[in-house]
Amino acid sequence: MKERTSILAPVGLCALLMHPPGAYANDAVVQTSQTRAELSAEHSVVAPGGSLWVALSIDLKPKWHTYWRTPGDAGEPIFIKWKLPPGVVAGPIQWPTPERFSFSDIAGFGYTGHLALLTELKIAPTVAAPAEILLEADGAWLVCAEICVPEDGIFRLPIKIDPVHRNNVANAAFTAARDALPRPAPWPVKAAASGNTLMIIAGPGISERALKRVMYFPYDGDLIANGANQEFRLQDGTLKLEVELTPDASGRGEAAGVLRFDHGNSPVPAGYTFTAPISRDAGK
Amino acid sequence: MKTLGTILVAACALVGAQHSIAVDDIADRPKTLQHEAEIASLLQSAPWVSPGLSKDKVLYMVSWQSCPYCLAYERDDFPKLQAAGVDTRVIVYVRAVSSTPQERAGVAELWRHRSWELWKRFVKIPTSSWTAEGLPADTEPDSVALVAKSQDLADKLRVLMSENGIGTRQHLNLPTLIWRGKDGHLRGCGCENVEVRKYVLEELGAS
Repeated sequence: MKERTSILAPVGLCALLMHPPGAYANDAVVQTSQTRAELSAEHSVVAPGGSLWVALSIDLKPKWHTYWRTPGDAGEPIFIKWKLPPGVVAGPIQWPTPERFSFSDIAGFGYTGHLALLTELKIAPTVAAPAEILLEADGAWLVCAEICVPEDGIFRLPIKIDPVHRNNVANAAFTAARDALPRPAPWPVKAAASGNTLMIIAGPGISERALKRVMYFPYDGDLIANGANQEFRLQDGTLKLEVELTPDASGRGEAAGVLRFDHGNSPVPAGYTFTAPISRDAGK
Repeated sequence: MKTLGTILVAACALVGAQHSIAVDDIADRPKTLQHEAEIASLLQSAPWVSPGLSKDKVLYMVSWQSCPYCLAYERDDFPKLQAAGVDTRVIVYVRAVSSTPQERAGVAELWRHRSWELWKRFVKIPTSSWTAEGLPADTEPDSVALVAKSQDLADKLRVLMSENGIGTRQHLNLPTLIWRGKDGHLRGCGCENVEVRKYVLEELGAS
């Protein structure tokens, strides 16, 4: 097991020697047995009044997984608590399209392999420049693979505030992170409940090419039977997805979340966000 | 000659792979715990919840509310253990960084009144949906103190278990399983391979 303190002791000493007084040390990586987590910024320089995208990237060892904003039957969403200087405000986490995993009749929603959680930071026009600020975040995430390990770390990332010397070079890692985000559904989405079945109807306008699997990931953790089969039909560009509701879902007024499309000809899934009122009389 | 060489290389690779699996398996199997007195003291002083089946045959499971594999262990192995007369004692703690007020209220109540029935309800519901309805708020001084005690227990246990090669000084493996072996000494298991859990059942006469 690689211990964080043992790594950071010599690194910390070197950082102390190398950084002149007044400069912040970069302490943006946390390494554990199961994960490598890193806080990074799309650009190293931002102007007052601008915005900056940052990412908490997590790389998991094979067989391990971590959790989405709605974790499923159990589990915990990845947690980020920001400690930011005055004039810097963090937006909500942008969650990539999740996947589903099941074990022992417990279904979870989350991620395997690599993921990056994007967050937009707004820099007030009044923030002094040129200067260097320190972005700090407490992160916590649960990783599981036959056991679970609650992991956490403190991340520190220095950023330059400068109205003149901006850095707008494209950052490939952030481009990839944006590609993994679900986007608003470009076609109409309706939801109808009949008995314990929720029918999600999307389209017209959906391409039938190589669509292999469709799965609904709800924002409401009590809406659907998380581990149940989800059957879809696609006809004339309109998709119908049947999902089992929980017994507690009878009073729910809307369905919201992500529709994940897996295509046979692409390893990268497409995710579409939607919010739709649940109609109770339309049925199947 | 070339064929013989290929066979030898393949045979060595096979032996190596088997040796590797065996070593991993053995390292992951139940072991007698060092720091036994300190661990026993922590467990006995903790307000565990249990169905109260036995004072002699006991398994402690340290977990928290939304630990999926703790829930799986409870579903898969608790019935076998309880059928064999093992008292399944659960110690729930709160994760300091990311817990919710409702989760803290639930854990405080479990530490306060030690209700097995409340625990069964508590772990059936994901943290995001747990409302802690009817329970004292997590901000009550008594609740704050109990939550802090649960975190303190987890912190101390994490260090002691890591010195036994189970988990790390920073992170506790969940579920953490501890029981008293036939020789009277405390036993523990990393159990990172779910197959290894059969040895826990065997040692407690529940296989």
